[in-house]
Amino acid sequence: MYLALCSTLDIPAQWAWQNLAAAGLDIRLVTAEMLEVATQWEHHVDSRTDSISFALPNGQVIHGADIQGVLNRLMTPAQNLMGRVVPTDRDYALQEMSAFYLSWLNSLRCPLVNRPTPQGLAGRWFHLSELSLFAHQAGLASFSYRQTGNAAPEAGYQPSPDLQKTAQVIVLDDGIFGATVPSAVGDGCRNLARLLQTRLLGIDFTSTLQDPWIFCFASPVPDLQLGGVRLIESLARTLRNGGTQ
Amino acid sequence: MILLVGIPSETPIRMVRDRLEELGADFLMLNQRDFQRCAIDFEVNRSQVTGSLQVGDATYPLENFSAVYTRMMDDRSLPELDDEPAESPLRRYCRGFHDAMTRWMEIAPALVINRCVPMGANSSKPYQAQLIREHGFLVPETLITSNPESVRRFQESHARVIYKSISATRSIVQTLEEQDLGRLESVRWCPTQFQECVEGTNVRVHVVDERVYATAISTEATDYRYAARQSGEPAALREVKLSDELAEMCVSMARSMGLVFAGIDLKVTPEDQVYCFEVNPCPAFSYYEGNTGQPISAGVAACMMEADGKLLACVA
Repeated sequence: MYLALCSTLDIPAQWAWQNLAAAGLDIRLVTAEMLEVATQWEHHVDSRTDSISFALPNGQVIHGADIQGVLNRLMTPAQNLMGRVVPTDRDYALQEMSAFYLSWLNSLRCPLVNRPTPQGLAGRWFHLSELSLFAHQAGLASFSYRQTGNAAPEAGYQPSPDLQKTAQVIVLDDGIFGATVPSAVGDGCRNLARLLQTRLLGIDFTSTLQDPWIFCFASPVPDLQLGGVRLIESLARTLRNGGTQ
Repeated sequence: MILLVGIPSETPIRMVRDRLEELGADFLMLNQRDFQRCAIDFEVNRSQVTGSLQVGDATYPLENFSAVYTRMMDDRSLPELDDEPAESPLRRYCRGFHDAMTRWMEIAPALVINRCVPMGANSSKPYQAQLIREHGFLVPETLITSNPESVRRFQESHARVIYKSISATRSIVQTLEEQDLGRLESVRWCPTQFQECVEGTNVRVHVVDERVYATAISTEATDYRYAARQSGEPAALREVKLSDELAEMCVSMARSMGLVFAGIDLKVTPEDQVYCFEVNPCPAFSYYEGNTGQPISAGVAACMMEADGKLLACVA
């Protein structure tokens, strides 16, 4: 059994789930909202091994050992029930649930695209300052990045509003999907995904008159529909065969 | 030049600052409560990270800082903001200044004790346990569940069970007692972490790069940090020496987690098995140094001075 984990609002992930199922994968859609009301959670960790099991609202019990692969697009635990938590405990409750999800997702031994990290359950989010450095190391052209104390902190985790996105590429392992790119740009994209240790990575480009391929942002949760059927085929292979990372 | 960031009167910062002064180090203490008099501006251009830090009338090129020791408290709780409305310009500047400092420290070509990203693993104890065991340590048998029956079975199979938070918040260890079983139904609302209680001697190991300071703690309390409250007696601390192999395991684990400075919580059983409970990425070492005289702050200071020396040698 394979799982597609995502929010009910994540349309690209649900498109991928439908197409992976159509490609013959026995894949279940498990939303963050279903996990929020799941019961019978049991997560064991000891010196040798670990395990996870839980019951979905329809009564189906999921055992980690039965999961063969996961398309992981969980950004955060769903928070529909947080309103029932006394206000002074809400932050704590969310931190507890986030810490729990990080652990049980990490305990899965099957292929996960992407593996969870403390900086993002569906893969690490990088700040623009880090992306600027890594893009240069990867061989991609990028603008310089500047930050002062007057900048809003949240601005560092989204594309600069000054840059118009002109193309998007998705890297899955060593495959390039989405926009057709010159080979040097494709190599840079693969290098960047390796440097960021992110198996499935969306990379946004902007263009100038001098250079049509200037890096502007990278995300572990790209719009999968941009990759089309080729991405679905590759994703199905990755989930079935695992591959390496 | 060395940069200290935090509240100067906070004990660990004060101790490191004292050591740097004794050693005649060239350092700057940035008091985060003075944020209104401070400004930072940094730029990433290709592989270069440059910029400046302004403190009052003085301006320092960021490239001059070869080592940083940061223990910034949550800037949203600074007393200077007590009377400020939620979205006031001062609050926004305070948040922006601290974020820019943090972002610069994440990518600065300097020794930073410690950067934020490696500290992230500590936000989930069972996740960190999965990393810890890769380094050859035992980790206690742990159950996180929303099923009261599973807790009862877990308790029946262990002599003593403790419970604690999964995240790093409100992390006080408590023993699961008979009277707690009456409120076990509450776990249905939120998966809760239970753990076998491992009997033995608590050992806190502070690793500063390759320096190792081990402290044994004797107490009857479940959580020795709260020994006076839990058992009525403060814990007794003494310096101990680890075997070379165990010391190397600690150094290697801290390094692989990206931590220059770490506080590693071990328990050594009567059978000499070594369990590791946690790797603390921002250790409040002053409690241990104050009780044993172990030169941990001197180790932190020396580590930073070595980095500063390397930078000076490069410049020369």
